[in-house]
Amino acid sequence: MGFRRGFKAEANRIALRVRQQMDLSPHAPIDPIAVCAHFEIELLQLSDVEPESPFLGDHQDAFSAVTVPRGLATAIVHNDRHHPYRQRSNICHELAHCFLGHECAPPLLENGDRSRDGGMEAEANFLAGVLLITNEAANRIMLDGLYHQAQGIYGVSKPMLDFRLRVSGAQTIHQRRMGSAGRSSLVSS
Amino acid sequence: MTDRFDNEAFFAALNAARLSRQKTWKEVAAEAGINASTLTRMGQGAKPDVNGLAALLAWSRLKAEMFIKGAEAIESEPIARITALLRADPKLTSDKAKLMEDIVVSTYNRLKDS
Repeated sequence: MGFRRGFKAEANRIALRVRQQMDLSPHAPIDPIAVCAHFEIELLQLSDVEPESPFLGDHQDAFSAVTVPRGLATAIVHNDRHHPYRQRSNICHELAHCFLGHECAPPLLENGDRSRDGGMEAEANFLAGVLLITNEAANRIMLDGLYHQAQGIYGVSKPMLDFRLRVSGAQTIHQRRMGSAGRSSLVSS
Repeated sequence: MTDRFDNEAFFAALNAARLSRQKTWKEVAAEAGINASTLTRMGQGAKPDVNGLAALLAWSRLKAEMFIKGAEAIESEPIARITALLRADPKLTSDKAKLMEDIVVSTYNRLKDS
């Protein structure tokens, strides 16, 4: 699915603005819990809200997180049984909806089915990744040879890390750089 | 006289506007030119005065008529028109969606009480 023109650049600008707000450098890792606190979003664990929820047990894959706004207050409830990296991604996905100004929609349709907007979901997925690894961070990972440590530094899954390195262009830039370096060394040798 | 201004809908829209600009409430107050304490009181249910309302409408670029009951279809009880951004994996069934709605309602009521 294609994004509207300029969306990817806008996503990176949002991720940089969030870091700037929190006095972080453009390539710094972020703590989604701290981002929620900074923007006065209450972060709740599902095990606190619904201790008996089946989403905490056998069906835990079926629920990641939800944002609930009420007047001046906003809360994100997230599934605290997920892997810590996935929890970070889930929270960033919800933050992405907030930062993109996505309009709220009723959670269920009249027939009881879930309401989902594929376009908004795709945008939130993309921004969640950028919030975790900005283009600047992706470039730094490649430039500094941090690929093997990056999962730990940025708290992301391997698929997320690989995705961000690819779509940010960092991998291509690095390959070109290495190619030029290789050619230069060939010329000079 | 019936209170026709939907405070909660206005604040929810204001909250969405400030998050979409990556702003804290303190920054909203400073940029709109009102006291932060005014926002806090408004968040606790106090009606904004006309100058505060005008300042916040100007800052957010929201339209007052969007929040006048009767002018728009904002008639139902808040809990009945819970608006939530609901996120989860696409494999969720209707039964699980209902369970998720319970989470939304619990959280909504929790925010109401806090």
